[in-house]
Amino acid sequence: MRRRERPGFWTLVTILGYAVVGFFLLYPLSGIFKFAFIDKDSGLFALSNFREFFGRTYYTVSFLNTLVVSVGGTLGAMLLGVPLAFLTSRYRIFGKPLLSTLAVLGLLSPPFIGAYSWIMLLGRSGSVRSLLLGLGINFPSIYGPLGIILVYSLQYYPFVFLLASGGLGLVDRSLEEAAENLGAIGFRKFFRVTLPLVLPSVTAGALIVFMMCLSNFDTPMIIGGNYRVLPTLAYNLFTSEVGERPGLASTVSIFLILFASGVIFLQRWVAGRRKYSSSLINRPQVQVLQGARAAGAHLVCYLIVALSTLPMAIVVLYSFRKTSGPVFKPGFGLESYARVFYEVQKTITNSLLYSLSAVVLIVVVGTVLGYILARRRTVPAQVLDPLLMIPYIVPGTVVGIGFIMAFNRKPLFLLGTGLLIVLAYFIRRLPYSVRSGASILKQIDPALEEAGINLGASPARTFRRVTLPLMLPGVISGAIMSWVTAVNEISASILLYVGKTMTMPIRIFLSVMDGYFGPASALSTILLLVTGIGLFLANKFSGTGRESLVS
Amino acid sequence: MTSIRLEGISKEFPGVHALENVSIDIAPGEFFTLLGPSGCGKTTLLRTIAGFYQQDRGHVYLDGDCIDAVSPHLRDTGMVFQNYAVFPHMNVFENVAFGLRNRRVPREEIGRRVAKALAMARLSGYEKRTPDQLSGGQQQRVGLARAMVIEPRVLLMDEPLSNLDAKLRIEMREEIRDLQRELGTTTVYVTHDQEEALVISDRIAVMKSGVVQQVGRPWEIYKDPKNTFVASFVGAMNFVDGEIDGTGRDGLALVKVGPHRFSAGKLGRTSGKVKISFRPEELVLEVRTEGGSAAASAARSAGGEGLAVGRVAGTLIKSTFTGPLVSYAVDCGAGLTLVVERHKPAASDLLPVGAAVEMIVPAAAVLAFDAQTGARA
Repeated sequence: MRRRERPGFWTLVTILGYAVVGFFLLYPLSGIFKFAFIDKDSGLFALSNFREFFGRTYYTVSFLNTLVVSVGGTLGAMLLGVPLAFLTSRYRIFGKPLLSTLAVLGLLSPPFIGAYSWIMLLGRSGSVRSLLLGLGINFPSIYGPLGIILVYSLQYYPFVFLLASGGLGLVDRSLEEAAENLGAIGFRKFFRVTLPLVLPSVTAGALIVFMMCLSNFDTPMIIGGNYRVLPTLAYNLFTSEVGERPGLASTVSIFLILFASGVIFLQRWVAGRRKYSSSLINRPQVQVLQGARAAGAHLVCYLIVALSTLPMAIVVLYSFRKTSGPVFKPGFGLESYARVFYEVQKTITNSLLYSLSAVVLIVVVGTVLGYILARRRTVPAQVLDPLLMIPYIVPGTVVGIGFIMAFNRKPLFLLGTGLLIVLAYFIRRLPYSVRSGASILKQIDPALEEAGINLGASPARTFRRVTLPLMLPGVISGAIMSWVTAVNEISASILLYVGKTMTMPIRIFLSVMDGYFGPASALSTILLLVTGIGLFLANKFSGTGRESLVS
Repeated sequence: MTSIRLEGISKEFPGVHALENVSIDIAPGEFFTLLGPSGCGKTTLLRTIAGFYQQDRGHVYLDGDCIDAVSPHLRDTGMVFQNYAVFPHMNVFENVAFGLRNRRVPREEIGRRVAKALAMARLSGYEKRTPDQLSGGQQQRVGLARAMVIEPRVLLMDEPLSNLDAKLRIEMREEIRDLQRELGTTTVYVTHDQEEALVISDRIAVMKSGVVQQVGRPWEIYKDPKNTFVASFVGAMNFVDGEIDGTGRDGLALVKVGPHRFSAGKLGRTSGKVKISFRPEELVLEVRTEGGSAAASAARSAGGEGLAVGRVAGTLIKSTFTGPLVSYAVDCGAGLTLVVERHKPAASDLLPVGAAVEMIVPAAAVLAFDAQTGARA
């Protein structure tokens, strides 16, 4: 029996996939597992780290805390995202394009910017709180779980909003009309028909939010006060000046990974049991509301969007306030910008260089690997699929810890290099890019590629001349989102940076931690501007929409 | 002009034998059609020639050279796809030029050959159009021009007309036939449409479950089917279960079906169960008048054995006018229902349901098959 050899090109790509997963994922993670299961005194295999974790409420409480803020943040995001999606997709709301644009704007900045701007408003000496105190109202301080949940809800509800809007747009009009025809109107119609139909989209959005909350490290750091969650615990254990505990940090990391995996399985299970197939024949109708109901709908929509946009407005506003050292003074001035002027060039350059390099890597590797998963049904490709999903459940803090353990010695000594930060950006975003690449390909008829081959183009040339051009619009919108996440990344890079590889988000974070809100605001404003300009340019040249933010 | 030789090709997909020991020789310049229902393996065989599938066993030869180990992009075949597969990001010119560019043909020659191919496909003037500005028929012409322009050794067409509407399909099958005659390129054509196969082909291979049932010219396939599958798949057919009942005075075998007897030509045996078949257009239908025809009543009075050999009486249960013909369904009793056609019908042929009729089944129209194997008896 003779077999033709597989085209060499795709074999090489498969090998590349395994190399990436092996070097930048399994190798660093194996370090974490090794540290977690090895006793720090004897150096032998032991469960002492796990015993210590469960033996001290200091650690177990943080486990519960993580659950509390993640569930709280997810519920909050659904509470904001679902009504906004429903109202804007079913009723005529004036200024809807502006509302949806503002709603997703929050996704373009790191969450801790929201955290510290709420501190500036409602913190110990926050302006709104001081105002209320002056009026004799003692408003509770924002620090702690409520602050974290508030920030998470406002930061992450756009995921729920976007996915729910997408789902609502695909519910055939006749289904809701049938509900009305059978006597269900108003809330009854919404809860008995509409909401169940879009539940898969809503839970998909909720899952994203939960994973974000679970792995978020910067918000609890800033607004948590003494409220410890697993990511901050891992970070503190790993970087503590009072003796690092890499073993315990690794143990905490493993709990984070297990936690995340559990949540994914739960969502798969819930969504899998509720898969509805229905054909979209008539698009849903947009109704016009009258009188008080119209006013109420507008009020809800504008309030949600205003609350979530407020932190950014505050940051921009405060960046122009007069400061003296860490203290804000009455009046406006450019002192904050003057203070950051000298260092900002280096950090902007770093941020752009690292994020763009990472995007190039993400796009190239993600696209070819996505191709393998979608088109090559070989066993190695099938095994690669779940492996590539690992970064999805590994929080940035854990990636950072793993990278330090893996790349602090030969053969790959990369500690303190910009490359290590680029690689962290790359591996964290890779699953998204692979997935979107594969889903784009599913919409491209394989016969087109066969036609290319049949007309004499080699597999590599067919990919370049036929497949790639057809994938390009989707790839570009994926690249934009990858870039936005990379340029705002902090949880892994905060562990990996050294002075010369400082990036914008890290600089802002450190300023906030030191209480220098003025310079932090100035830097945040610049970061927002950079992100905005980048998005605008990309949008202009590719014509992609905001939907790319969740793809 | 290139000959194709398929030698003992077998291909298995998980759980399915897609092709089983398929051997076909296709002559240079021949228009050869693979015909069969969906899942019969015809497309798998075509894609094996193109190299998109690698056979598990057997060999593919072009002009005597084994091409099993040749990558699909080097096989020099021109394929036309069912869903056109016209590159949506290229205009008509670029689509047609794609294969020539892959072959590093000089620029001026590309221009010349593309223009000629587009003229042949009646697409001159459409060079700058993008596929989304073309109708389905035009897109398929682009697909055709694109496959022809590279002057491939063989043309492979995978149900190229099945996505087009009925009228266009008939128009384009003529065009494809004419173009192929003009170019003389050996062509393998896949279709599930038996009429299309009969019209367009030099020869046809009828396939079922991965096995070639019969290879032959359209006339042979239609008039002389080798088994019940071919007989039923190509054209409409009446099938009746019967038993051989000796030989008539004319030396032809007699087949007994309930109370009826049919003359079935010369058979290789004198007894046993058979399945006989005859095409609706071969039967002659007569309206039975009061008392019946003379011959019929004579036969009845003779032995009470029904009608004479090759004559069946019944009641009309359905009469369908389709334009060029009327199709009748006749209930002949004992569970036997026959379909009869009358071409160029007159107004008087639109018979009412319930009419008493009689059919003549000429011996030449009757084909007999083994009841067990389905092979010709």
